[in-house]
Amino acid sequence: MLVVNGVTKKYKKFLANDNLSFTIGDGEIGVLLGPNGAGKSTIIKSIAGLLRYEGDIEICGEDNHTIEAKRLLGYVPEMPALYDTLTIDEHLEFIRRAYKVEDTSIKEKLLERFELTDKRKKMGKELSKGMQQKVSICCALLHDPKVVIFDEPMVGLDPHAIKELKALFQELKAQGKTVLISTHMIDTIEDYWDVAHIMMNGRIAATKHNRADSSDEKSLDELFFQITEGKSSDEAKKEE
Amino acid sequence: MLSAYLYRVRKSLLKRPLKFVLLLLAVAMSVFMIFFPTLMADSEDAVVRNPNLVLGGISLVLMLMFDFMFYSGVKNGVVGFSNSDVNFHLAGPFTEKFNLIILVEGVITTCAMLLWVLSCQVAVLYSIFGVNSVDVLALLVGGLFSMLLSYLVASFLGAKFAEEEGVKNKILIGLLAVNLVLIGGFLLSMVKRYGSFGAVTSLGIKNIIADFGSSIFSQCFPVAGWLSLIYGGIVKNSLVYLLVGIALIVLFIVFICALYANVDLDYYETAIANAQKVADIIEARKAGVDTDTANMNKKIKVGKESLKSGWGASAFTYMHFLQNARASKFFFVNSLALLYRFITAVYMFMMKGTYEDDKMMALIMGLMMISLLNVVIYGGGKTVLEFNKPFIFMVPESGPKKLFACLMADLPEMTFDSILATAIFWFILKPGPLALGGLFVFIMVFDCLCELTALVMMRLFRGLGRFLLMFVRYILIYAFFFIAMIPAIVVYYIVGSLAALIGAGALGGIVMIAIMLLCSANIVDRVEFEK
Repeated sequence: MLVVNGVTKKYKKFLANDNLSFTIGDGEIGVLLGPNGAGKSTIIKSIAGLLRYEGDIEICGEDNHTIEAKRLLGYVPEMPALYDTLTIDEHLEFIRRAYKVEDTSIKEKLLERFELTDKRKKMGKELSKGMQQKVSICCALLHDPKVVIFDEPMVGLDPHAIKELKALFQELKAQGKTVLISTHMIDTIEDYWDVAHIMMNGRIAATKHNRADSSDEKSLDELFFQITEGKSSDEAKKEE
Repeated sequence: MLSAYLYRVRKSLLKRPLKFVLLLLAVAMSVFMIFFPTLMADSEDAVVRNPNLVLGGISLVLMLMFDFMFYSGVKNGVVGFSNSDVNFHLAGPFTEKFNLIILVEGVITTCAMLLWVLSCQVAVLYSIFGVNSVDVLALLVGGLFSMLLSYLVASFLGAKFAEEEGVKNKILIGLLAVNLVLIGGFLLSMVKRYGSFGAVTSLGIKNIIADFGSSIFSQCFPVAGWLSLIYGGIVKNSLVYLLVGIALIVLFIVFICALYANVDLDYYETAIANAQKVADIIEARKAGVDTDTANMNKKIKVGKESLKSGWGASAFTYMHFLQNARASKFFFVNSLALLYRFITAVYMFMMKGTYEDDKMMALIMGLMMISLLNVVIYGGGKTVLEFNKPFIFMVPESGPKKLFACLMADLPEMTFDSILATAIFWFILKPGPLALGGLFVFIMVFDCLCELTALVMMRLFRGLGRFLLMFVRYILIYAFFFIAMIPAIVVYYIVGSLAALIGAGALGGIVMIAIMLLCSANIVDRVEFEK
């Protein structure tokens, strides 16, 4: 379970996240939607413990800065940052050792699943953006985390990898894991999400649950455009 | 370009008042240092100026600057384009030659930094050569010209042969050959004049440098020698020297223009391939780390090396070892440190000549020079670069443990460097075995201190930028050195042994390491991931 409670993040005077609170339960897929600059990546990085902020974030009941929480968390960054002179194989081996994972077979399974087996001897600097993204995903999943956060995971991936990734989301959900995905591409998340938070100007402007009995409500698309474009029309009126 | 650059600098400074204040301080320090010889002229400790020695010293420093920039330009001719340069300049309506010239912007910063470091050494130059303020000014202006002209030619060659590592190596061998022929020729002429090599060495290093400054061999050295010729003409009231020097420099500038105008370039592919690495280097430089850019173009291949050790935090240590071993068979050798140790050796020879009867003073000056040069060499290394990747933040181990594991990977380089520096001391000053052991420890301690200072500065002043961060680190290491030397000198006057002096200095350094360790221990938990 992932609990975000009253998180505020400022970059000098700019308020990137303004008192954000939400919860994603076990076996749930949460989605953070929003236009560029809405504050999605900031909250994702805060959850991953990469930024300082005000408020509380818990990973399965543990403060996200604790070693125990780090063990339970997997993070796929927006921009894959690999070591130039380490091969794919060595990246995974490094993560396996750093996270103290005894089982070496997980590495092989991930390489196979993301079609990286034949490229395992290639160095980070020789990989395309999409390939680097695949390696980042493998690194995030290698230690079998309970909570996995993805920051714009589809960017740069080929159709096969996107299909594989979507299947992976479902699998993680079936295994009872907590999944949080940040994206601005509303059409990529289809129907596998459980809860969607639409962000705007650092705040959650709306939350929508994906329930069978909610067919009379507005669709996610409609809600998203109402919020993002509605603001634009309000501003236009003010200018008038 | 220049007005745009100045506009950006002005806007950036106005937005960061602290940066502006520090920049003013750095400039004020340089100005003060330029006038230092004038202030000393009337004092009891005034050093008598020997014009030939001054010219020789200036020639040598300018030659070193020319060589350094030429090497850097050939190796990194097309390294330096950022991702935004690729998008806006390389893809824009500009010629390949024009785009190559925009890289000079980055080189000017490097030149400014080197000249600032040089201006901080004026007190030393005064004690060795007896330079006056005009000499210092000539050295700084000459240094700027020497580096810029050298870089313009070298970067062109680097771009022309961007994909041909073999040709680039041959060009650099050519540079080495020019150096060897001119210095070798000068030494041979000296041997011929004085009868034997022993007779030449008995003249002492200062007399040899003084002879070199006015010899045809130094005056033939490209750019550096010609600039010295111009200054020699001014100092000695020789119109011939002045005119010949100016004519040669003008001809060289015409040659550069002709080169840029008539030779086609095709380097975009290499420049684009290097753009991401440049992004990493820019990140590292923001943290004040001058990574060894000379290694950027190196063709690194996967060999038999592998990651077989490390568990938890220590995986970082072994992963860094693996990267180092892959980059070079001599993974324990820092090429930048080798260059700086050469400078140290030359400096130590001069110190030996200056403080003939005072071994302690020569030793302290040498140690200070090593410590200050190592501010650049040990600026955080791969540890700082780790902060550009999420792994150091994410791995479930305590922050200090991960930091320590990263720092451990730099120990082989530091050990080799300390052995080399100790060997230089042994060769030049011949201290006893105990003192040598102390020297090894002292240099190791200060290498670690430089590394830790860089990390703490990154935590406190990351936004200051490369130049000012380096300035702050430089000042701090100066301060640490003097603090360590206070008990060392007291002990020396009580015990009367060099070994005791060095040992006490090293102990002082260890205490400061402990303080810096305390300051940097939680850096992993406090620094933010900025990518």
